Formats: sequence, C-alpha cells, structure tokens
Amino acid sequence: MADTVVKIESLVKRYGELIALDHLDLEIKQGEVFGLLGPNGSGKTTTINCLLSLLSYDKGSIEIFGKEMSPVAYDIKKDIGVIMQNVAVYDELTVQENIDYFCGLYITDKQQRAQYVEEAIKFVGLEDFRKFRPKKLSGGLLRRLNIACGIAHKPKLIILDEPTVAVDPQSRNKILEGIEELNRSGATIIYTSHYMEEVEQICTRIAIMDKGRKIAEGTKEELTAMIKNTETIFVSLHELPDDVLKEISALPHIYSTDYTDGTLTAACSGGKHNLIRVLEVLQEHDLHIGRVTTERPTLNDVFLEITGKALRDKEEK
Amino acid sequence: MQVFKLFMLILKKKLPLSVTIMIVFMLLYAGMAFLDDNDDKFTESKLDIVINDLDDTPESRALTEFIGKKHNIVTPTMPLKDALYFATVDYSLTINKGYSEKLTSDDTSGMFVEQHVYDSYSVAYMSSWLDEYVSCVRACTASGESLTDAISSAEEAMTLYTEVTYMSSDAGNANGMTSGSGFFRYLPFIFLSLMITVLSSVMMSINDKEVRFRTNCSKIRTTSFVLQILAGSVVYVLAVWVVFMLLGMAFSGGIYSGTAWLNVVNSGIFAVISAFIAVLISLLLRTQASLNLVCNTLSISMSFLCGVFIPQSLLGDTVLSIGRFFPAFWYVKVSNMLTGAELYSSAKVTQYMLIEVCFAAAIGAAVLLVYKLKVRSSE
Repeated sequence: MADTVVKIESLVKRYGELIALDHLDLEIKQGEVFGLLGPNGSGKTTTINCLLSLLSYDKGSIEIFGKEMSPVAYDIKKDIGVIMQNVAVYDELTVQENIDYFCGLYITDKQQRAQYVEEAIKFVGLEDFRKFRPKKLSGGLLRRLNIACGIAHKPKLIILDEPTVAVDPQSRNKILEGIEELNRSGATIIYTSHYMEEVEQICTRIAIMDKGRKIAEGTKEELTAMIKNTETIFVSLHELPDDVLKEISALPHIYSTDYTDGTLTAACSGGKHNLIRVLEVLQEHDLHIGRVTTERPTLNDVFLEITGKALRDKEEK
Repeated sequence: MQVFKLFMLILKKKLPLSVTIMIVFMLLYAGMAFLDDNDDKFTESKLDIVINDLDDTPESRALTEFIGKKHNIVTPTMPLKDALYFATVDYSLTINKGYSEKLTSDDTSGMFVEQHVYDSYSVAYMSSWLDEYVSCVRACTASGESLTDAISSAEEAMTLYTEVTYMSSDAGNANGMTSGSGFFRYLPFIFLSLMITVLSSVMMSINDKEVRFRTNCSKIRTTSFVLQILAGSVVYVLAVWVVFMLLGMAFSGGIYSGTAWLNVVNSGIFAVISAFIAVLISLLLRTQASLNLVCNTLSISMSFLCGVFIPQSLLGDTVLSIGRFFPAFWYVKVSNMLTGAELYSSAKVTQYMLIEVCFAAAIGAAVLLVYKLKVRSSE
C-alpha cells in the first residue's frame, strides 16, 4: 500500500461564528492526483491554507510526510510546492528572475538552481518570455509563470489551488497536461477546483466538499456509483403526447422523465438496454425521432443528488 | 541571502526614481544656494534724482555736484508727479532758497523739500545721507573752517568707504562651516521623500499578500526573511545618508570640522526616523497607487510646519506648537543651533537629539505593533 503523504484528522476552523471547516478528515497517498471539489465558499482554500500552516486552526491535526505540520516545520516545507489561486509573482522582476527567486528559497546551490530554473521555464513553455516582466504577459502566460514559480524546486507534494481560474482553453489544457506530467514524474498532487470537468480529467481520487464538510470521497467511478442515476437518455422529438411520456415513465429502471423544449429526458437507475426500450416505445407510436444521446452521471450529478444544489452557479458555467 | 538579493533587485528597478528625486533636490538647492550667495554681495545702487536748486549759490551747486557723483541727476520727460508715480524718477529734491545761509546758522529746518512715491532702502538712505551731509558741513564750520573748506572736508569724509563683511545667519561660524550649511536644513524633506517613495514601495512589493503567502510556504525562516529585509533597508538608508553627507561636504567646501559633525549625527538620526516612517506607511497602505500622494502630503506638510522651508523664526506660534509634534521640528532646532541661526547650547542640542531618538523609538514601536496586528489579522 502506498505511503500516506497528507493526513488530516477532524480539522475544525472557525471564523467567529462561521464554521469554515467542520471536522474534516482527508488522507492522500503518495503518487495520487487528489482533487478537492466544491462550490465557492465550501472550504477548499481554507483547507489548503491550514494544510500549509498559513492559517491556524481550532481543532484537529495535520500530518505531512508522516510529520506534524506547523509554521516552523521547514523540513516539511522544503518538499512542498504551492500554486495559489491568485498569481503570486513580483511585477518588478522578469520571468526568469521570479522563478530564480522562488526556486532560491529552497535550492541554495547556484548551479543546480540555474538548471532547475531552466527546466521550469521549458516545462511551462515560457522560453520566449524569460526577459518579460509579468505585466507584459497574457493571463494564461501569467498562470504558467505562477506554476513555474511553485514547481521549479521539484517538490514531492504540489498543491494547486484553482490554478486555471480565468485562463483561456489553450493555456488551461497546457496547465492540466503539465500537472499530469508532474504526477508521472513522481509528485503527489492536491488539486482544488470548482470546475468538475478538470477534476474528472486529471484526478485519481476526489473529495467533494460543501460547507466545510467532506460529503463524499473516492474515485470518479466510486462517486458516481454512490448515486441513484446511472445513465440519462436525451431524445429530440417534434412532439410527445402525455400518454407516451407516461408509458416511458412506466418502463423498468426509469425513475424520472421530462419533456421540455422538444427534448425527452429519461433518468435511469441500473438495468441494461434502457435506451433500446425507450426508442421502441417511441417507434410504436410513429413519433419522428431526432438526435439521441446518453450521458453517464457527472460529479455535478453526484453533488446535486447529495446536496440538492449544483456545483457551480449558473452564471459561472 | 535570497531575500536580500530580491530587495536589491527591486531597489535597483526603483533606483532611477531615487536618482531623479536626488537630482531635482540638488538643482533646487543649488538654485537656492545661488540666490543666497547673491545676498552676501553688496552693489551700490544709484537713484534717478531730479534736483530743483532754488538757492542757486556755490554751496547749493556744490551739493548738486556731489549728489551727481553718487546718483543720476535727470530731467523728467513728463510732469514730476507722473514721473515719480511711473518710477522713471526715484526721488525729487528741492534745495530751498536760503540753503547756504542756513548751513552756517542754527536753524536747519526747511532747507530741502523731498518727494518720492515708493519707499525703498535707497530712498530712505538718501534722506539720511542729506542729514549727514549737512551735519558734516556744520561740524566743520563749527571747528573754524570756512564754508568752502567745510564743504570739501564733508565731501571727503563722506566718500570714505567702509568694508562690510556679511555674516549670514546660515553661515554658522560656530561650526567651522563657511557655506552650504543651509543644506542640512532641507534634508528632512529629501530624506522623507526618498524613503517613502523608494523604501515604502520596495517594502510593499516584498510584503504583497499573495507573494508573502508563497514565501511563507517555503523553507525560509521568518526571522531570516525579516533580517534580510532589514539588512536591505539598512544598506539603502546608509547609502542615501552617505551620499547626502558627501554632497554636504561638497557644498561646504571640505571635510566637516568641529560641531559640524553634530549636523552629520543629527541627519543620521533623521534618516532612521524617515526610514521608520516609510516602513510604517508601507504597512498601513493597501496599494502603491496612493504612495505618491501620501509622500507629498507628509513630506511637504512636515517641512512647512517644522521650519524646513521657512525659518522657524518666521513661523507663527500656532504653527510652531503643532510642529513640536513632528520629529523634523527638533531636527531643524538642532540644525539652527549648529548653523548659528539660534544660540548654540550643547545641552539643548543633546536634548533635542534625544527627543528625535524618542520619536524614532516610538515610530519603531508603532511599526512592530502594526506588523503584529497584520500578522494576527491574516490568521
């Protein structure tokens, strides 16, 4: 069994009356890409800040690499790389100077540092921008610089707190590919996001958080298996008489149906050949069938079913 | 020494601003010093005088001739009142009939009628000069000389030139500095400007919340981080101070001597106070955008209230009362004593310097307090 890199037990953090973290337990194994998924304000960033000892907490314990984490645990900190939600670089320094400075906080040997800085620049694809000041970089390039500053010293544990916020799709893909590559090279990753697609894409294990509590944890498959929905069928139709809709609703394994804006939606729970049975009913009534699609349940469905609300607000989508 | 290097790197980027401020200050000071220099030199001024000799005697003509040697005797091109009003003529002198007789009599009233519109030192001096001339002639006749000889003797006596040495209140004979000592009076303004504009800016960059989070996550110890920033600040403050001490030497024309060294110590204390103020501002301000506004407001207002730009002797009691609550006030007090503008007292110089040290300690304590509060609030 893989070694435990991070162990959080019964962590409680209060801001006055507000409970930001409510007896949170997490265990992250070596080599994992661990996703912390939750809506804004669910406690992801607070968890990270407590983990890094940037915030004090009221109760519980945090262990990293088997040692208790504290603000003065420098032997632990040397193996951690941090990429925060907001870009944290010096506007006065160039790309190269920034990476060199942050790498220098960990690596004192000049030659080794020069090599690491060079590798980090190549890793994030900023070779052509090394003499640029951050203000001259686009949002995506700035995020890449932010990442380079966090990983240049080759940490064993990398913590990324929403690193793709306000990033263009091209840079986002580049960042996600980079994270996977870092993981392949041996680093354990903690990745927080409220973008479920990203978490689904790169995380090997996921914890879903809401109101400071962990509401579910497991692989994507384990999480989706927790909920009733196993498949959702979508069929485009010009018309759908009520009696036909009732007939479909009565089919085995179909627990919810809806017809809105010319699309029939049928949610299934278990069973096989659900789609064939729905299409057979429609053909029996000579209804003209348009586009037919099916969807496996997403993490959003998991979150929706557990909490009764969506992971992201509509305007964020 | 990674943080120290970072400090120096950021400082390097701000250096052009620092140098610009220094150059502007030096140009302003050089201009003011040049103007001050001109105050030390005397040039004889000549008045344009209209003389109306109603007496028309050899004595009155002798007076007219003697006045002509010192001033310009002119004939107005317009009515006399207009000429006086438009200042084409400075002074009108009418030598009344009976002038020559009155020179030897006891009654000297009504010898002249003087007219002028604008008051000036030269005009006042002219009236006084006429009185002196008459007194001289009368003194000579009283001693037995003939009137003609008395006039010659009086003219001879009044052409004697007295050498004048100008002792500026600024020149500070007490401390051995011959010139440029006023330079020290302006240092509070330039020190505050340089510290707030540059040191606060560097501090704010280094202590940016997001970047500090990242630094706090690294393996660098907080003590080491703070000490390295302190080292960077000390280097900057020391560099600024040394540069200005060297410039002070250049202006005073040599190495400091005697009590002039107290000026050096005094400015050193104020440099430290300025640095503390700059650090405090960097902790209190949220963005660098407001830094220039704060810098100008603080440095200019403190300079005006404390007698940096205007001598304390010319400031009102209310202003001086307010000024006492600022360290620059005590700095200027010491500077005034060392440059001779106020009576020198070593006890008072020590007392005022200690007050400055107390200000430094108080601001330093405020820095620590605000820093602690900020750290606590971030948790």
